[in-house]
Amino acid sequence: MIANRGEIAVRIVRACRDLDISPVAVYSEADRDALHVKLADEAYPIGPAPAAESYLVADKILDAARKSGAEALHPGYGFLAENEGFARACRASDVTFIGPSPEAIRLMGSKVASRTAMVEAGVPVIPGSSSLEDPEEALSFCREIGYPVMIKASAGGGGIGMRAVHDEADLIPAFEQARSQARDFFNDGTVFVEKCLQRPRHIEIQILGDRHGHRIHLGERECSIQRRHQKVVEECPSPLVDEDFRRRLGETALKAARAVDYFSAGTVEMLVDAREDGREFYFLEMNTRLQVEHPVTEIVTGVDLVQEQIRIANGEPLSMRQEDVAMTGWAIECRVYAEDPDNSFLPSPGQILELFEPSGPGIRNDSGVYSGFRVPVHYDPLISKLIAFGRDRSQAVRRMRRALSEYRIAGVRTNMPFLETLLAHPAFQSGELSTDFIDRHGLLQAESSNSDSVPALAAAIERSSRHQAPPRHEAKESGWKLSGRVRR
Amino acid sequence: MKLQASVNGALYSIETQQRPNVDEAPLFEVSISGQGPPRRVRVLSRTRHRWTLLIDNRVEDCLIYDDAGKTWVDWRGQVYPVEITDPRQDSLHSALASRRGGSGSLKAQMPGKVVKVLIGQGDTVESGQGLVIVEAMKMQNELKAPTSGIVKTCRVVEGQNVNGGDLLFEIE
Repeated sequence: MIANRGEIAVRIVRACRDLDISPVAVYSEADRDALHVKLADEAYPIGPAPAAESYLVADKILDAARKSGAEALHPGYGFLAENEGFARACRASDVTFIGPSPEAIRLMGSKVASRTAMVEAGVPVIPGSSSLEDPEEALSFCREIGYPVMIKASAGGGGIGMRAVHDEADLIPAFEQARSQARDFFNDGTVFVEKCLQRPRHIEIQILGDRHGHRIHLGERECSIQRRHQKVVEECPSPLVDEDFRRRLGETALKAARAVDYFSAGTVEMLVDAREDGREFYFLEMNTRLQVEHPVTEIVTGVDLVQEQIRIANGEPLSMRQEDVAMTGWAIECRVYAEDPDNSFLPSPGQILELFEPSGPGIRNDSGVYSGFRVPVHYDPLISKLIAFGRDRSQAVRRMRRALSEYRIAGVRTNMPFLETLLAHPAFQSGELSTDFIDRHGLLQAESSNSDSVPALAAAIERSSRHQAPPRHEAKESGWKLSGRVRR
Repeated sequence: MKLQASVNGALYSIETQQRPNVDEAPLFEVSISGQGPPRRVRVLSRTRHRWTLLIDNRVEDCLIYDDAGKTWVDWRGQVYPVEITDPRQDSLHSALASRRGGSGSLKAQMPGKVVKVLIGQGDTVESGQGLVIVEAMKMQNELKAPTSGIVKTCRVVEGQNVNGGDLLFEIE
């Protein structure tokens, strides 16, 4: 059973097919015509469109699992993937949860608890506090570690409830706002404070562990290009990481995984402070699930991570040892969203009138949509993950730019023009990444309007042709139309 | 056909004339006022929305579709909103626009929660001015006035949940 939707549900269906496992889909009312449903063997309705009434309702999902007789369940990412209660409920219903233990989910799901566990395990963490009860505590703590600081929600994710504070004067209002936002979004107002690194890079390590105690790492990904703390572009490997640093990062990540007896796929996220005098790295958090950007690791290491997850859940040992893991070539992923760049990147749902996907050498597009599909308003507006790979970074970048120019979507606005600007930027091309890349290079500023007349001309031709029969396969034009006897 | 096209603040007066087909491809002569002699444009092929034009042997491959009263042209990596006015259709167009409620209303694009209402009924607002902050899709978004005018009705309060398509403000 695939307890998810969109592109990741399609991804999991494909892994099932490659293993000769029958995939079973669930769908909300808004997803009746979704791609993952078309590709499944069976499908079960789970309620109205809002996630809170469908994909987030454990009972409905487990009910569907029982009806279908599914032996295992893959939660994808988001929704119930890191919900400890759901993992337990699967166990209780005799459905194998394809993921780690509920205990690991719980421990790593709390930013405060995981920090404590990491400190105990000897994993470096960003200087920070445990949970803070009142503004005065926060104030005195920040005085000690120094500004700038980042206020974070312990139960948070996706950048919500995070606030950077540069000045002591702003601390208390920011603290209160963060707390109330955390209460509203996560039902948990627990916040803590971390030192803010100056020019950090987001580097994460992919972990795989089986149920027999073997654990390996599959190298790093760099996800520094973010907008409002949401990842936009990810790559594998990282331009910053050499063999030696990779080994250190990998060993640290394995230490973290060992501390919670981790198995299945997981990712240890770190912040790397790349300074003149060397690189410091710190544990940020561990994601106890498959990540959105897993394809870049799959391509460079040749490992099918979803397949491995399924095999691990089935009790099989890992199909490789650490020394078998090799990284070849370079992969870059761009997240293509239905967003309006002229309107603060607000989601731009609607019907995809026509879609032309890129392909060719070094291109992979993990998509959950198709021509004619109506992108629903109720969920993350991800259209697809476009991945380009090559023998080195510059070939991957060139292929990505080529793929973006081939990728055409009519009917919804997308962030593709923004991605093109980003990929064309010299700092991106030379690998000078950082988490403030987008702001630092002013990439959110509106493009200077192109005053070429071609768009106007094309629109005029389209308008003039409206009385005509369109595509060539339709009937030849009659003499009536050619002689100009036309009306709108 | 004589048309006016407005794109990104630039106004074009365009005249298109269909000529006999060449190789079965529709051929147009297009004059844009102020841009010299007419250009020959062949419509090499088209699907419902993808138009492949040949302008002086240069391939211009565009996506063209209508949305919210504008014609959108996706050309060379950018999407352009083009407002086409057909002088013959003017009166019909404005009649339809006023029946539809015009551009003086702000609707919620997706479900969310109203965090802060920035203006009140009776206030004068400028096009592009922030009217309300709505939390949705993991982000806080400031929704802006589509036109200038006076806020006729304000249909939301802080803390309220809104659904996609809900009318939030009317401006006139």
